[in-house]
Amino acid sequence: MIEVDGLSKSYGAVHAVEGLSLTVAKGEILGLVGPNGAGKTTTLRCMTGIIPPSAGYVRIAGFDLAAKPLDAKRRLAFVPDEPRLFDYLTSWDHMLITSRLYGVKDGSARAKLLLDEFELGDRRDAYPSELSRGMKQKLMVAMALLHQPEALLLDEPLTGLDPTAMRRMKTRIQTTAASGVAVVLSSHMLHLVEELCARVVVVVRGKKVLDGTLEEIRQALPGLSRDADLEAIFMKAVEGDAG
Amino acid sequence: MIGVLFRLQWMQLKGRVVRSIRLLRQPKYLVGFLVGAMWMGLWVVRPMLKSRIGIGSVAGNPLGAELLPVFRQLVALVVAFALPLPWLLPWGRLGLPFRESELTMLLQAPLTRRQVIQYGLLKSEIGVLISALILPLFVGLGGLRTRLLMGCGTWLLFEFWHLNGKWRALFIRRQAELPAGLARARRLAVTIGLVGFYAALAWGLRSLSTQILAASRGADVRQVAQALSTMTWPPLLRAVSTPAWWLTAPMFAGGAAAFVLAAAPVLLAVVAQREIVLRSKARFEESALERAAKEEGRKSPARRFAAISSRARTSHPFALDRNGPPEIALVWKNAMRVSRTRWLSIGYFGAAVLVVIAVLPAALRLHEVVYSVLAVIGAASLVVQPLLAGMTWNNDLRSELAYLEMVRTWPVPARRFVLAEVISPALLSFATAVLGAGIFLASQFGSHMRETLTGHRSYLVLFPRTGVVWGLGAGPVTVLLVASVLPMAAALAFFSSAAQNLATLFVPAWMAHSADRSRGFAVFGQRLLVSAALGLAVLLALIPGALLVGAAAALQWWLRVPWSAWAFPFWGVLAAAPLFALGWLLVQVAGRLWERLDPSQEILEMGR
Repeated sequence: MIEVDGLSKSYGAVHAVEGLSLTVAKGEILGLVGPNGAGKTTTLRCMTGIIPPSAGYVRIAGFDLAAKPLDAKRRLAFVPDEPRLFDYLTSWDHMLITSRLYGVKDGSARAKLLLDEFELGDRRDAYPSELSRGMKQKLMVAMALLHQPEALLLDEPLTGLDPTAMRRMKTRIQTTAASGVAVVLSSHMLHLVEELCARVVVVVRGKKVLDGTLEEIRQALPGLSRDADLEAIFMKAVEGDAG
Repeated sequence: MIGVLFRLQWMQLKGRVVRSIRLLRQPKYLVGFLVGAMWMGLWVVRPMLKSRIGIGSVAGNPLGAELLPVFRQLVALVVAFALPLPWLLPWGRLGLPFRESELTMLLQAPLTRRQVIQYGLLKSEIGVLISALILPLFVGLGGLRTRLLMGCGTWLLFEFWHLNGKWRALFIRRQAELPAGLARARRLAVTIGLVGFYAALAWGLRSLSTQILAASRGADVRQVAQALSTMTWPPLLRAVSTPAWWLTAPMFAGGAAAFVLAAAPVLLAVVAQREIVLRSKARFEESALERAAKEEGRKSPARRFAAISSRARTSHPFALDRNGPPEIALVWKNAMRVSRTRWLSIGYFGAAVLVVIAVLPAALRLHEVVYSVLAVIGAASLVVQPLLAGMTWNNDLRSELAYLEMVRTWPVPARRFVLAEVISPALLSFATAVLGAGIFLASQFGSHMRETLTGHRSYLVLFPRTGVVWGLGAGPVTVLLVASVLPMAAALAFFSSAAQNLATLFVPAWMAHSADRSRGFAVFGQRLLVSAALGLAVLLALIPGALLVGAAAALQWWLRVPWSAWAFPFWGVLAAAPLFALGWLLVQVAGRLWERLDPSQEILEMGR
């Protein structure tokens, strides 16, 4: 469903991402973890067409993002780490424009359902400046789910959410994946990644250093106990990297 | 501890300067900086430094020498009047310019109140110093030494004034904390004192104004100057303006020794007032925090949207259909950055305004000048607004760059996306131009109506009202002439918006709106360059249209087809067609650039 092959992104002599490859199957949740500045956000931006990669390709539902960007983007949704909403549009306007641009057939009805689901029903006429960080985050996720994407990329989706909202969001991510959506979840909340993701990719200095299920990674990394959690795995993987 | 505060302030300033200098390593900022610096040097600094009307030259001139003491006394009077005036008002905001982050840090640090206030004063010191030095240094005051002395004198006056303002702000803050009775007594004492002071000032001025009026009746400037210099200043006026005279004395001190003598008492007054401010018991922290939050909110572009009423928020410029081209949805979105009012309502309102313009001044028999002014406003909107399409509305790619993470993921073909961004401001500018055309025609019509009603001849006449011009009467010819400008206005709006959007994609970092103040001067130069390039592009783009109209006119002449006003709109369309075509071409190029845009980190971090 999501295929990334040999993805690289360089800024002059700085290599933000180097030869990264990964695949995410339908219904799978892939965790993307790494220290600050490892290249996670750059990877996600390349995977969504926000920035062009220097090399490599990205395929969403079989469509090459470079060759068939519209087909790929129609099947894709991205929630960035910092919810940047239009200052001049209300929550409802955001849902309307998203629905219209993605050609959602029952747009208004779905928008209403999603706003209610994310407890934003009574904030539909609020501007972003009147929403809390968590509410903005929820609105971004609601917009992302509006057109029923086949691939969902989430960058720190739980930041700013209260514990109840966090629980709900986790459940929503799981049900979305269960409905056949390929999900990539980038987060520093390792317990969240461990809880939700079937597979984890660890990126350090733009390079993939680990890829597999926790069990596979435990076996691949020498010196780890059999019940080592993701935090221990992460610390081992980034050992010697100042971050 | 004061050293630490000073160091903090210094580090902030240094940080900004260093960042500005580091930015100059990038060619885009270096070029912008050089252009900005050249412009400032040539058009602002050089003419100012060249002016040589100094105190010395004024004093050397017999007329100046006579008037200088009067001028000094008048400056003292102005200061005497203005300086204590705010004390009459029982309200005012706290003048300590803290930022929220600074206050959070300072208030939890082991600092005394005195030190925190000291830091606040230190922060505003740069502004006081610059405003005090800028005027005497750049506006004609003889040699550099004289200018520097006057700059120092002005600084002393401004510093005193500035501290006085802070004292007043803290006094008002303190009033709220004192028992009601005591606060009332303090306010009463201040008010009585000030009322007495202003009464004395008014009394003295009464007598002086009679003398000034008499002096102004002199036959020539020399006589007026002589009469003014020999005026007898009422002793009461002299007495009440003496403190202000002392305050302003260093500004007018001729040499170094005179300056030292004049500055010493003012410096003492500044120190005393500073001490009063620093010793204030007013609990300023809360109001300072409130002010800092307000200031930061005021700077936020989102502020004006939050003020929109809950009813207006449900309104949209037009209904967005479920299906249709993406351009419509994007225009719908961008229109809301300007206003949520329904376009249809704006149309009705505009029509009503035109009727009022046409009828009301004539019905009220107002002076003809009303229609002349309206006609000029209308014509200016018709011509200027399309030229400024890109710059006026701020609802195109320039603002979209801040939302790159969202808009780049939308499944909209690049060229259509750019087209929508170009159309959004162009449409609004064209609508304004149409309104301008309407105002122009309505004022023509109204002026004619006024002439009929009053019998006074109207001078707002484009064509002779009797007889036939180009085969038609004056009225239809005027309408056809205005109608011929409209296609040009539409094309110009489209082209100038397309050119600006193309420039945004060529040099995104130059065009994007950024709050980074260290880019300031370089950005000024960048904007200057872009504006010049855009202006040149528009000028060049007008050439094909002009050639086409010229060719059509030549053909008509060669074929001996009689001239008719009916041809005006046709010529308008002919002149507009190449502009539209060129604009379309720019959209295609911009679409390619949008497709390939590799935004820098600077752009991606915008608005965060």
